[in-house]
Amino acid sequence: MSASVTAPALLVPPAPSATGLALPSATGRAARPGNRPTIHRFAGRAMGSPLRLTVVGSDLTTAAAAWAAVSALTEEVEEALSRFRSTSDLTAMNRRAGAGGLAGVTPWLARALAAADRAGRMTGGAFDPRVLGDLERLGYPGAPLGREGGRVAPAGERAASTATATGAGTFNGVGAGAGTFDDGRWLHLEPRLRTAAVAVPVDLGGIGKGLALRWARRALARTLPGFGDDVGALLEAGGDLVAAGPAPQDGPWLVGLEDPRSQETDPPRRQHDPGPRGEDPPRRPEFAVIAVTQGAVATSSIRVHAWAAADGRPVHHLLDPRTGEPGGAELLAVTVAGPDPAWAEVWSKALFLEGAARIGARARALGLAAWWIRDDGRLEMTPAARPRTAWLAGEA
Amino acid sequence: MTTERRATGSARRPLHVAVMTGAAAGIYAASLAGVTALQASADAGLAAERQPVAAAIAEQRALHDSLDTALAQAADGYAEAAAAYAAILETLGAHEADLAALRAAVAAVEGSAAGLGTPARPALPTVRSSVGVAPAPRPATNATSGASGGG
Repeated sequence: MSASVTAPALLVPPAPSATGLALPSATGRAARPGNRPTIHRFAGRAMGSPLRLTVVGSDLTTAAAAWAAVSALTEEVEEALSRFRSTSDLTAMNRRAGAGGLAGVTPWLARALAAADRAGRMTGGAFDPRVLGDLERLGYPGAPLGREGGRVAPAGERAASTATATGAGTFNGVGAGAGTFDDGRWLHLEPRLRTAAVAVPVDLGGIGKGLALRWARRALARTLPGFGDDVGALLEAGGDLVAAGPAPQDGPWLVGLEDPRSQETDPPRRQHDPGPRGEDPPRRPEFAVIAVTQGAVATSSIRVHAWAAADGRPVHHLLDPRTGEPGGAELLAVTVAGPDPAWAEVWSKALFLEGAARIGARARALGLAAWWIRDDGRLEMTPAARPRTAWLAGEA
Repeated sequence: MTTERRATGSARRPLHVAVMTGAAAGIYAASLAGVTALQASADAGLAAERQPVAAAIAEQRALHDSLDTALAQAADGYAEAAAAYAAILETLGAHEADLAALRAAVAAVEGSAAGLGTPARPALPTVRSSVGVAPAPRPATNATSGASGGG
């Protein structure tokens, strides 16, 4: 937890946390002469990532209440969607995977499963939460699932299997298809009854973070009067963010796109150091700065969660569900800006998996504002991204 | 006695005739009413059959009216565009006149320069061929989007 104080500053007690896991701290900066808006900053952790909230133009009490609401919501979502928590709703459902019977799930998980299913259809299969088996095979495990020692069948085994449903002892071969029930679907969901069943264990990490930001934005709208008009806020969660309303400076919110080639690490316990105008100094080299008036930004990058597999080859966490192997040939990172954080997250990953050879055509066809950096360091972007680009390292 | 009977008979005959006439008129009226009802029913059926056609005609008339309105608007727009084009033409004419005057002035200057006895290229002060452009500084950012820390 980092607490950054600027002068003049108001150090306030930590905002209440519903879960006790997030330990938020806040700095508030009084209004300056010249109608400079009041800025309040909060920092904590959620979903395995730093969680930061910047509120502009609101009083401290209201901003702290908004932060408390966001913290409580993200904790609820993490408890529902995290595959790393043995007590999460997702882990419980994954343990029942393949059994076939519908079981009760939280509203968060029901909505996330519906969103993941739709994302799979919209991306033509590029997004698929059933990559958990391959992630574990490659050495990125989550909470133990209690079946076969927690092992999850990878895509290759699912594809090879044509067994009929057994419902016990194995996750693969649930139905006639690969990783599906007998009806060809991987998900059985009754949204109104809030019951669900999956054919194989699933990972909702990426889209879960985007959905958490989507829902947190609604929480901000409920708790911050004037949010989006005369009150601005920017919420970051591990590389993804959502922003609306006025920024601390004149003009839109400015978001740096991290250079994925940098190997620098965060300074311990000091990740968010406000500058003289409330802006953050760069934590890592950035290859571009983009302007966000209202919307979301998500990045899929292999700078972290990259490791050596058991056979020694380098792998990363962005797996192509069609092969079960790391995708995104000749790409290091893809950033997408759009109105919704969940869809920005989905499309950043789907575009990454296209690889350097196809990402341009695909992104342009979709009309997305997307930036990507190739493994040779070249930055490319779509026509829709160019007007949103405020600064480029190569043009400095 | 006979005279009385005659008187009685002559007194009955007009009543009988009147009854017969009234009955005939009634029958005629009833027949006429029936025929009228049948005719009205037939007319109503015909009107009902023609109703879709009438509605289609009305709709077509409305479409024609709207098309007529659109055409009128298009004509107005065309007229406005034509007027604007005419105005531009006037401006272009003025520009052409200015260009002609400029051409004449340049020709006069060129003629004067040719008549000078001094070197054609007078010594001019040295200037830098280019000026250094300071690189644009990276603007201060409010946040960073990059590698996700969570899973």
